[in-house]
Amino acid sequence: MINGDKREDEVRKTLELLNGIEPVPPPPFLAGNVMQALARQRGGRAPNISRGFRFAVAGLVALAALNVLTIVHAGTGAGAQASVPSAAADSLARDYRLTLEDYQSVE
Amino acid sequence: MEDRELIQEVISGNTSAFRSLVEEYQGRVFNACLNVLHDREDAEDVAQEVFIEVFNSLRTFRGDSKLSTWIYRIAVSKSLDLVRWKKRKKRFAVVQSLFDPDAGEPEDRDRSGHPGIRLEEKERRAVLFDTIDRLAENQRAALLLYCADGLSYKEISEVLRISVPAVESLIFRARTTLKKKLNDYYTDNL
Repeated sequence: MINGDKREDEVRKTLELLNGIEPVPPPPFLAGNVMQALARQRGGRAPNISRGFRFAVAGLVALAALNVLTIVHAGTGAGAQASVPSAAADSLARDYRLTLEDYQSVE
Repeated sequence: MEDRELIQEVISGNTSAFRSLVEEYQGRVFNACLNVLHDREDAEDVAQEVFIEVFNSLRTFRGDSKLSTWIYRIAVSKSLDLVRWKKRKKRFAVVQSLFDPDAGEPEDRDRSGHPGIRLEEKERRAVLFDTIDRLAENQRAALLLYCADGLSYKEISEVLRISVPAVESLIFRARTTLKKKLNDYYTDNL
C-alpha cells in the first residue's frame, strides 16, 4: 500500500534524526554568568530559604503576637471590667446587709 | 589539571579552578540539558544551576565515579525536574485558562525541537521531540544520553544509577514506543 510505505518512510526518516543530533556550542556568556551567580552566593546574600518556610515562620510570629496582645488586652481590661460587677456587688451586699461591717457588727 | 587536583582546588575555594571546571564541562552540560529540554533558553538556565550545584556539592563527591558522570547526573536530574515542573504548570494553566483566556506563555519561543538538527528538518524535528516528550522519563533520559550525548551503555548506567541491562532495556523500549507513536502520528497526519 502506498500510504503504508509512505508512513513507514516518514517514521524511518524521523527516527534517523536521532542519530544526527549535532552538539550545540554553549552560549559564550555561560561561564561568566555562572561565576557571577557564584559571586552573589558567596557575597553574603541571605541563604536561599524557601518561600513556604518564610511564610510559615511569619505566620507563627503573627499568631504568637496576636496571642500576646489578647492576653495583655484581657489583663488590662479585667481591672476596668471588674469595677462594674464589683460596684453592683457592693450595692447588693449593702441592700441585704451582707457587707463586712454588717458581719463584724453581728459578731 | 587532573580531575582530582581540580576538585581539591575548587573545594579549597579557588575560583579560577572552578572557572576552569566550568569551561571544561560547559559544552557537555549545556548539551545534556538541551537534549532533555530541547529549548535553548531553558537549557542555559538549567546549565547555570547545574554548575552552582556542582560547586555547592563538590565536597560530597566521593570519587566512586568519574567527575563527568557525576556532573551528567546532576544535569539530567535538574533537567528532568524542570520537565516535571513545566508539566505541573501546564496542568494548572488549563484550569487557569478557564477563568482567564488570555493567560499563558507567549508563543514567540521556538519550540520546534533541538537546534542541533538541520533547519530543513524543522517539522520532522518538532514531531520527533514532541513524541520523545511523551516517553517515560527514564526512557527519555536513557535514549537521549545514548543517541544525542553519545554516552556508552556503561556510562549511562552510572549516570542513571541502574544496571547496564536495564539501560539496554530502557533504550529498546524507548525506540519501540517512539516507533509506535510515530506510526500513529503519521497514520493520522499523512
